[in-house]
Amino acid sequence: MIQHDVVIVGSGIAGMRCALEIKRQAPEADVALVSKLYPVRSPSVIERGGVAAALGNVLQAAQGIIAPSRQHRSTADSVESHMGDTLAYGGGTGDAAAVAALCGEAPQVVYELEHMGAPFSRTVEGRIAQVAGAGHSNPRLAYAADRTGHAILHTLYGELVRYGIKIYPEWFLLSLLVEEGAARGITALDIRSGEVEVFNAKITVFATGSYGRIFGITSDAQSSTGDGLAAASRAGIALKGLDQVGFHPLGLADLGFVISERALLDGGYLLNSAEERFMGGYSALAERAPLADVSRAIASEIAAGRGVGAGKDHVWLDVRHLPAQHVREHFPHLIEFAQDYLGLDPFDALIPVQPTAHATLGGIPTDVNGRVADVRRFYAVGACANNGVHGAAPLPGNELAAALVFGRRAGAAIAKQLGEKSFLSVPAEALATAKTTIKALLNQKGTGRAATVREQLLSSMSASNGVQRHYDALTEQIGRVRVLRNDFAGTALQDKGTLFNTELVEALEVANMLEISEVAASAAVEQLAAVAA
Amino acid sequence: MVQRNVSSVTSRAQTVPVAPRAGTLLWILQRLTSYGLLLFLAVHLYFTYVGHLDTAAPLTFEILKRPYQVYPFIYALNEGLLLVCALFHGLNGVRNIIYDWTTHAGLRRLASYALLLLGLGFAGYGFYILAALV
Amino acid sequence: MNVKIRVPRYEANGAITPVFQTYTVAITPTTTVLDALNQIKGHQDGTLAFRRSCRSAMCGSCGVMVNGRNRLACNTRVAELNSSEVSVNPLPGFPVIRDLVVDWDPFFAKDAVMLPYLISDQTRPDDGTERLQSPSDARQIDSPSSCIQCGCCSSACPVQWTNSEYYGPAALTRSYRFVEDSRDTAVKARLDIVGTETGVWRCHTIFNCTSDCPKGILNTENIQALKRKIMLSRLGLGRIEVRARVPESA
Repeated sequence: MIQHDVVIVGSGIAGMRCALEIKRQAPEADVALVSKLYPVRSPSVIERGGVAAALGNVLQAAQGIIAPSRQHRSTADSVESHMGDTLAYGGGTGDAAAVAALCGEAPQVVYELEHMGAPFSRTVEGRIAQVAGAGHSNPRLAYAADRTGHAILHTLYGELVRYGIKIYPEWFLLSLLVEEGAARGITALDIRSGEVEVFNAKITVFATGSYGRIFGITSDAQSSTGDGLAAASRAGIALKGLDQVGFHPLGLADLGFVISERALLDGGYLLNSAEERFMGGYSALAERAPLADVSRAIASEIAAGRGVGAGKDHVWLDVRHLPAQHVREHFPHLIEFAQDYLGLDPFDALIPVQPTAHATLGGIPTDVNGRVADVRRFYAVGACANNGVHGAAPLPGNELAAALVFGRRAGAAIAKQLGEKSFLSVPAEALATAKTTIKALLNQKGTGRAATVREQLLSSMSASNGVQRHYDALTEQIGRVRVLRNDFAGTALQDKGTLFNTELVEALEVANMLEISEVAASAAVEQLAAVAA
Repeated sequence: MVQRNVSSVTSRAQTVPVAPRAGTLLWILQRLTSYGLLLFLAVHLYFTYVGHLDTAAPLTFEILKRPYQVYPFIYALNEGLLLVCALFHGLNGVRNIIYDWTTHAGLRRLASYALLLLGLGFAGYGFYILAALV
Repeated sequence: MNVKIRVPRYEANGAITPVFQTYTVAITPTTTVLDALNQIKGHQDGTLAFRRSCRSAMCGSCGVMVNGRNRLACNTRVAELNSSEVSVNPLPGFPVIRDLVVDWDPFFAKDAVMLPYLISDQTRPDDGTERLQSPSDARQIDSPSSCIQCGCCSSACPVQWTNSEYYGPAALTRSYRFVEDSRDTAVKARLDIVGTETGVWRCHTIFNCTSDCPKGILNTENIQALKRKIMLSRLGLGRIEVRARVPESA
């Protein structure tokens, strides 16, 4: 058994920020991070756009003030404006307290990142540069070239090294240990050795990220399989709002990588099969409409048979008319994606795009400090938590800000109460149960392959649970997921070894994805029924 | 060599050897001697071969000795510096290869001293010949 | 189109000599090496072990040697390799745990020794806002800070193949990223760490690290810049500390 005061599962931006805050406020605290990846490999790195914070560093171009004066601060941007935008973008359903906490503390967490040395892009007067984002009434996205998530993650990783915070890389979460309404730690599998261990903690934190991988077309990493959510669900915690998924209109065809929406804001066009701009017919803002509207418009075009590509399920993104220098400077990833993955030259060819699952909003229900109501000594932060801050759709840049703000808040809350807490015993059978699970999976008999189940799950989830949802298709999907769960029980592993058994890990991930998919599809059905009623 | 223990970010505890700050001077000298070689070797080759091609006569000790008499001191200085540069550059290069090849501290020290001795030996012999030529 | 993928298999624990295995995979023009590996793992041979995560060339998990060059499996299209048999190997010079899975621990331990965090006694603004940094100073660290720690560079370095103590280009570029940061004031300490026989002086400007970097980082040039700074500081010449070119402020 391994003992630490606090065990944080997940080493993305939220988990690291939480660990760091605990260590800053309670230097003696023994904090450990457990992650199925090495920390700098966490899916937070793929977040390209900026982090939303009302710093007010750049004046609105619309006001005609382009040459910035010395030491200027935009008077236009404010926390209130950020709050208003967040609530409006989320369809007015965001949790007011959470939104206030997010927008109020976002500037501070961004400044703290700068103090830690994050390589933010700068304005001419040396302040953190900010650009406009969809749904923002002021330029509010602080960015580091086009790899903001990467810059933040590596900066926080450096802080973990500075504080010597213990990391357990490549340990796979098996279960959350809850007894008498209090979390006592976790069980996890050391992927490298195949050993199962119990981690005993005074306080357990989940920062396990999103579950975007249940969709075939997603911007999420192959490792974003909702492991934490499935473990929480198995421990009896009711997950909240798993049907809420933010779709990004500019997913690279079939691959789902997100091309920054700034490509649209800066004048890129969307074209249908007739190579005509169609967004004007859907919104007065045309291509500059909110992302959810653009996604719906693309889905409608595709549904009307005006899609392009082999399956007629893409539309074209056209940036050929934008100045090449501007594209090179602001969207290097667009060029990289087009050249490396599609073999296209974006200055010469149209880029096929389709809506992609980008932000999964559902998760473990928490309050604004990351505390989980049903279970004592248990916190959840980042994409695996749902405190209602995003409402129905996340304002671009707010996800990064939320990971930082709520990671920090949870860390502060934990540091405050750590002194008065003592270790609780772990359930006696915890280790045996976890070992049995692994053994059972290794010895499972059957003819099927987990990969086949996964492929069927992904394509059916994308088809039924995508931008456009229909009651019948969704109810059918619930049944299909149940069938797939049954199919999964009939799959066998070829790899029975203990040494770095990635097939075992993938099977565990498929099991988690099946679990999450069923909850997500059911939640979507309920949501549709509620709307209908 | 100081061993730094790193266990917080890795799955198994690691030790990383941190060498003392050293090697700068050798690197600078390696660069300087390379420039020296370019210059001194060019002069040496010119007077040994190119400058006498018109004589059509076979290369003899007399021909080799002539520049020492035509350009007293200067030519000897060139040859002396060429000797130093070639020895240092070559032997330090061998030392670099050994340092790349093994991390064993004792072996490295042994090789360094052996090369130093070798260099001093060759230098002594070289200057002995040089003195005879001048 | 069908392509053969040749992979070394290290079957048992501690096996040193691999057995090579060849799989036939159907590819499209956009199939990446990672897609091909996933196909093999999912439908032909579940025992093939490799790492993957983000698949968009940002996380650095899937660095492998493809046809003799270190690359990311996820952004290398099989078709662009123009070969009917593609050889995929683990990163050379790293200890192999199994198949294509290498041991990252020594790599990250060396990175940790580089003090991969900002050390600064520059005063922060009283109001808690950001320190000023000019856009040109920010651009100076733009390239070295875009490193994704995929190990392609360190693994391509012949010195690293024979000398496990050498920090390698990835760690040295990490050091360079902070040395060049106008906000960092521990330049001397950093140069002392890398200016050693396990550091920059083991670099012989082979340029493999620059040519194999998937992010286009000029690793060898960065190491040369470190050497230059160390040399100048030892000779007492030049300005070693990067002075922040703080923009004029009122």
